[in-house]
Amino acid sequence: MTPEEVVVAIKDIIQTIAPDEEVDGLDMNERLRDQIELDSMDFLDIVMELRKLYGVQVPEEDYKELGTLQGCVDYLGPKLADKELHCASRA
Amino acid sequence: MNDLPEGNPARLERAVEVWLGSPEALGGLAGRDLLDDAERARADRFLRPEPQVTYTSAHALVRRALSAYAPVEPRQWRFSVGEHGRPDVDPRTPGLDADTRRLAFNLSHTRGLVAVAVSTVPAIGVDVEWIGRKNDLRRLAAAKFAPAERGRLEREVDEQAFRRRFFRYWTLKESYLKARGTGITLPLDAFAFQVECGAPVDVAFDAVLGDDPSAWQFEVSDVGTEHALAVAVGRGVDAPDLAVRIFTAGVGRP
Repeated sequence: MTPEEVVVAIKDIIQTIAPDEEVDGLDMNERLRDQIELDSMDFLDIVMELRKLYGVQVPEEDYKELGTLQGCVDYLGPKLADKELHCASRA
Repeated sequence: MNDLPEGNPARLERAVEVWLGSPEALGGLAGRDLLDDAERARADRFLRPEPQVTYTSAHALVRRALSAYAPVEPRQWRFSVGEHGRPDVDPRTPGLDADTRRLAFNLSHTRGLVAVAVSTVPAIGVDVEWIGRKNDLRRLAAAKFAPAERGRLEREVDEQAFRRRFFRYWTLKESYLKARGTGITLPLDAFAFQVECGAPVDVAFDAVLGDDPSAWQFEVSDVGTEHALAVAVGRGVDAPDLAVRIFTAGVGRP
């Protein structure tokens, strides 16, 4: 997965969990929780979707790395480099 | 609706007061006049109007609720932010004295409901949840709850009963994490709640948390038919329980 595909993957998971949210306009560097209505339970859902779709484990102490889309790219990019993009919301 | 005398911190001796309201009942975006520049900028960053309304009404309620206990106008409150993003009253807020500088609060909001807890005990946490939310609750419970909690949930065959019990555990967990100021950096399965009708809420902590159940008081309740509410109070080891009072707030009142 390229960095661009990591962004697509994260937006797709958010869209699955929170279908009402507008993901196309998300800023890469603003906190996700400042742009869309995303709380702790949604965040845990994102982590569990990452595990289900890509086999990626994110330990609690690393949750803070996923606060922005850019943070997701930086943290997940290496872990997803050899994975293929799945689009859950369109599956 | 309840009215409060202004500037009366004495009400909070050995008490936690929780103010509840829907974003609409709280005036929605009209609360924007009470927010500071940083809060307005943050409200404006939301991409959709609904979170803007919820954020604005919630933060306006924080200011109005705090002003019920100290001689400070709602617009004048200043806040500081802790390591994990938890906001607190900035003791440099003009007009505070030795008593009112101890004011502590915690805020929670969910679809259709805002809650602000105020106390002079610093370790307080509040959580409200809309119990109709669409997340996969069974997957969350299986992955994140303590074994004893999972066992009790699995025995709930009725979907509504499962949902009610799930959100009692969830709001209690969130309120505890918020009272500790850590957010979800602590493992949710390292502490287990027991909630049975007519009995005080019981909690067990794993050693990894380094905490003592006798230092805590928990309250959990339904709010109408659609919301759950929990309050956590770190009142100190074997200290007497605080009174937890819950009020409905509206426009023009806290």
